[in-house]
Amino acid sequence: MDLEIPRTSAFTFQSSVHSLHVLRCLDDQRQKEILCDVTILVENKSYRAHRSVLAACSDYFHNRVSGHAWQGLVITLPEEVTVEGFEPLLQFAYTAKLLFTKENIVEIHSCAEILGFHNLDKACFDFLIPKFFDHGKNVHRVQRKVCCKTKCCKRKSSQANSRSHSDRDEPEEEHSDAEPSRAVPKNRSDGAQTQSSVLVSESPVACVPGYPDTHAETDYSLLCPKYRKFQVACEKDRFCLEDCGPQMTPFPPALTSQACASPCLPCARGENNDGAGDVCSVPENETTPLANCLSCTPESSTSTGFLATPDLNCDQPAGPSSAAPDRCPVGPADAVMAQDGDEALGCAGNEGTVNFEPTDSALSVLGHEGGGDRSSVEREVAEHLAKGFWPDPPPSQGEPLLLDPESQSSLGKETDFHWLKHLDLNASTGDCPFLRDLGEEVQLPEFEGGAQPEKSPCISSVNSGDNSDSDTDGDSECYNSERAREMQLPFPVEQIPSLSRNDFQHMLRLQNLTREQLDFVHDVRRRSKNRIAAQRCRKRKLECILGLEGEIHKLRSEKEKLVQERDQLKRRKGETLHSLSELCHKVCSEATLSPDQLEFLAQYSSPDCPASVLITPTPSPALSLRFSLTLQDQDPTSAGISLDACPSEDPSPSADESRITPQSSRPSTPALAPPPPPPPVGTGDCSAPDQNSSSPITDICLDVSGQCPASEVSQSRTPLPFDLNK
Amino acid sequence: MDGNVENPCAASGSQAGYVLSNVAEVVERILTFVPTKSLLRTACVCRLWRNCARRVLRTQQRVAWVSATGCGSGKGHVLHRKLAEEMENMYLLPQTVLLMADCETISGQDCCYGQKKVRKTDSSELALELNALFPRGCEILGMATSGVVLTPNGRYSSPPQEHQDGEAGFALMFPGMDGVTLRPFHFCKRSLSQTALEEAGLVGNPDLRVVLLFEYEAFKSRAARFLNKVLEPLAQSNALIAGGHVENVFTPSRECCGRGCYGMTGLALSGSRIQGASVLLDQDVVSEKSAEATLQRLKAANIPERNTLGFMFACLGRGHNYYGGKRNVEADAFRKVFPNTPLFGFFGNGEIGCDRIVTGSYTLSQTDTESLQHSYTTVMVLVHLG
Repeated sequence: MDLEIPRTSAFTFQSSVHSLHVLRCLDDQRQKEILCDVTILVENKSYRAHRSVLAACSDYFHNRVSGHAWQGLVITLPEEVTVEGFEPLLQFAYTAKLLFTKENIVEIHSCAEILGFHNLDKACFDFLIPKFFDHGKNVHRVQRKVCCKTKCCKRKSSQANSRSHSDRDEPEEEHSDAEPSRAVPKNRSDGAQTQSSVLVSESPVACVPGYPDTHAETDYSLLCPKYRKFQVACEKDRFCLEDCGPQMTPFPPALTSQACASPCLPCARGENNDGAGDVCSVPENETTPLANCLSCTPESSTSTGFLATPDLNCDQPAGPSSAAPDRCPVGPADAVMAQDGDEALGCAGNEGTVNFEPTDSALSVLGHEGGGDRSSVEREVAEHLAKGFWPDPPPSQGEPLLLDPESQSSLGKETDFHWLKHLDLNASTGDCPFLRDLGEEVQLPEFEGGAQPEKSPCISSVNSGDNSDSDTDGDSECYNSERAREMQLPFPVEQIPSLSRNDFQHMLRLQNLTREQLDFVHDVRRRSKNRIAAQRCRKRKLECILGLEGEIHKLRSEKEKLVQERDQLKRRKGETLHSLSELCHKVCSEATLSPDQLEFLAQYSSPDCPASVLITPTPSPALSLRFSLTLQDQDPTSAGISLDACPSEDPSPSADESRITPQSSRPSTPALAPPPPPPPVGTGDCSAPDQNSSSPITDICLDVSGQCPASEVSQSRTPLPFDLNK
Repeated sequence: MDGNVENPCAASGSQAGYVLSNVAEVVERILTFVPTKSLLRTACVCRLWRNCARRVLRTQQRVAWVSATGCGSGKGHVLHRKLAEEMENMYLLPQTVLLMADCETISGQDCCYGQKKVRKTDSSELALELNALFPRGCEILGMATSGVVLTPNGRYSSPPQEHQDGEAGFALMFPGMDGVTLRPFHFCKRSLSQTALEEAGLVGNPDLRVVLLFEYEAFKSRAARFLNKVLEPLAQSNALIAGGHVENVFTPSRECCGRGCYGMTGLALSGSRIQGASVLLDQDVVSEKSAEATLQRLKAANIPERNTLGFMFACLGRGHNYYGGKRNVEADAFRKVFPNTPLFGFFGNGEIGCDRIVTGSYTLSQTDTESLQHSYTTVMVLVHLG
């Protein structure tokens, strides 16, 4: 204790322990749940705390809590805030001490940024995170706990306090800079507060897309875990949810549902957005409220259910509900209602009725409708989640439960968590899909017991649909866009892959994204790049195949052409040969050379000379023999034909020696010689049979020549001496 | 000594004399260019000058240092000779001096136990000489270590050097600084007690921010327990603790117990303006890159770089042998990350320190307290003096 005695008679007493003491007492109160006036829901856990303490510690809470007189508030934190990260921070708020471990430091960091905690220096994280994760090899080192203690409260002198303030300011600024999302809420909150006086006027404001949480007390997302997913799917909506909470319980959720339920209520949504922008100050404007009414629904029911808790909020719903009916009848609401009415009613029976008694019938109807909408949205969400987290379809039996606010409140944490479940409820499940999987199996049985009876028929069917869909549906595009909505990216997803690398990096730097967002963005970029690469690869392959096919086609046609040409040539050759042989006969017959003359001629003309062929007056048997020989040279099979063609000869022995070259045929002649004599015997006759047999012989010759013209030529010569010998 | 030259002018009654003996602003301005030793002399001239000198002295708040390396020729330690020269040109009145020199030259031929007698006489002589060099009332913390890390004289940005062998030493001089209390302490087995700790400001001192402590003769049988007795309360506190085992401490002279006794000396820096951070380069930091990465963490602690000193307490086993023959690795890494921060330190037989950040608004420290003593590590410390 410092006693300062100035010269004047005023005394200053300053206690150095007071602030510590107050904080300790507050912490005691928190632990005993004395005077706690706010409940914070993080994932599946709820914490009781003092609004004033939270608001003093965090910008986020300050924005959400300030300006509202209700007690028994329930604040649901955004999904990015995990139990692992929040619990130490809450402790820090009350004790000025923060325990970092390797496991939780990242969580704490992101949570602190989201929540805008004061007096938590960024340097700590910069200092520790590399230590934990770069030098992570030494496990024992890593697991040491590190304690961060804020000393602000220990300040004794006023100077010190002022300094501490200034110190505090710095980190704050840093935080705000680092967290654009947080900065936005601040701005918004101002506007929101100004309008808070008018219920109706505010709801449109809340609807403004991107309007972040200003003062949300009751959180619907809380009430219904599904909801949360659902909110996440469409970020704006979620914000709306949180914002409007206390004032207009029925409306904001409605808005969200409506916005989210884009498939069902496109028109309504459009209106809503427009209206929100324009009509903020004009509550009377029908269109926006309408939109609100439309969507108002399941959430409203849930909210009311929730409000049933002994809070000031209980009264609240009446106002909005009364307002709602006015607008309901107008315009689009009816149409939509008509469409959705049937199933919606089914749902309503389960959910809405019990909770909703205080509100008007119109509202309740709307609620049903909303239920219908929501179910569709939920299905979408469920699909993503399933896609995102589970390769196998998750056993989503617990889901239906979530729809029911009451069941939710009773089952509370577990139901909330069936998505993110894992064995240890205390630890945050947010991050680890594996853990979740484990947890699910364990916890499911419980759910089914409690959940099944309450679940609404239509939704259960939807869920069953989920399961089947989650595996089969692999449309990554749609997945991306939906997840993008979930992540609340500040730029369109389509932009991610289209940017060049540099631009992309630049953009990332500009936009301060949370870790999850970053992961997501990188993921999207990688995927789309992969997709593009794969497409390119496929295209290239197709082109290659096409080219090859064309080539094949070309070659084929070329071949055909060549074959045709060959055939033509063959035919012409046959004709020439035919005319030649005729000419020979003619010459022979005309010249009527004596055999001696012929022999002489043969002896002196070289066998190579083609002229000799022409000259030779070949007797028909000799001719036939010649051809048969050539045939044998060519092909043993065709030799058979030749044999048929020349029955007079018996060349079979020679046929056996298949490869008789023209030269070799000559030595073989002696063997063949004996048979030929008979024909020469009837040399005189031979002309006639020769003419008869000539045509078949030429035919054969044609074939043979086709196969090997060169050999044919040589053979055509060779027989000559042989014949002449005869 | 320009002031002395101008002094007679007053007698002449000239304009200049009048100004110099009456216009405080002018005198003060002139005196800021006078080295402190001369300044003290000029303060004797007249009341005006004395007042001016006092004001000028008060502005001399920055730490200064004298480093000496090299040639073994001549009598005494190179640092001693250098100090004798440089003291004439220092612009501060040292109140506390942290002095480190390599043990080989300080204590004679070598530092082995058998040569104790030689060393003792040597170092006590040196202590006397040093005491003569520095103004009266200045507390000198002199120690001999196996190796010295120093930043050459003069500019803050000159690259620090590691001297594991050869003659080297530095004297780091702290003036009286506003908002910073420097309290040297010395404990031996007899003088160590709870009250002694409290007196030294190590216990029950909420403003305690940084403790530099150096144990000598730490290999003695009970030295470890002795050290633990001091470290235990410190580990619980929110102060930055760094230091190591040095070979020998030659000043303050240790009359209390016999020679060869273990003991501990150090500096306690308290004051709410002081900030500090320390990192431990542990055994898996074996490359320039990893050393730099660790120092980047130190940088991330966001300690202001103005008026900041770096300390490096390394193990004998580190240095160039540890980095595959590359010399000056850690000092260079430090310079790369903190180009304008002078670095001082030693190579010792063991280090004390941990990863910790201490600033005005928070402290960040490991929860378990046994982790203060290390070997084969380097402790890098940044101390911002407000």
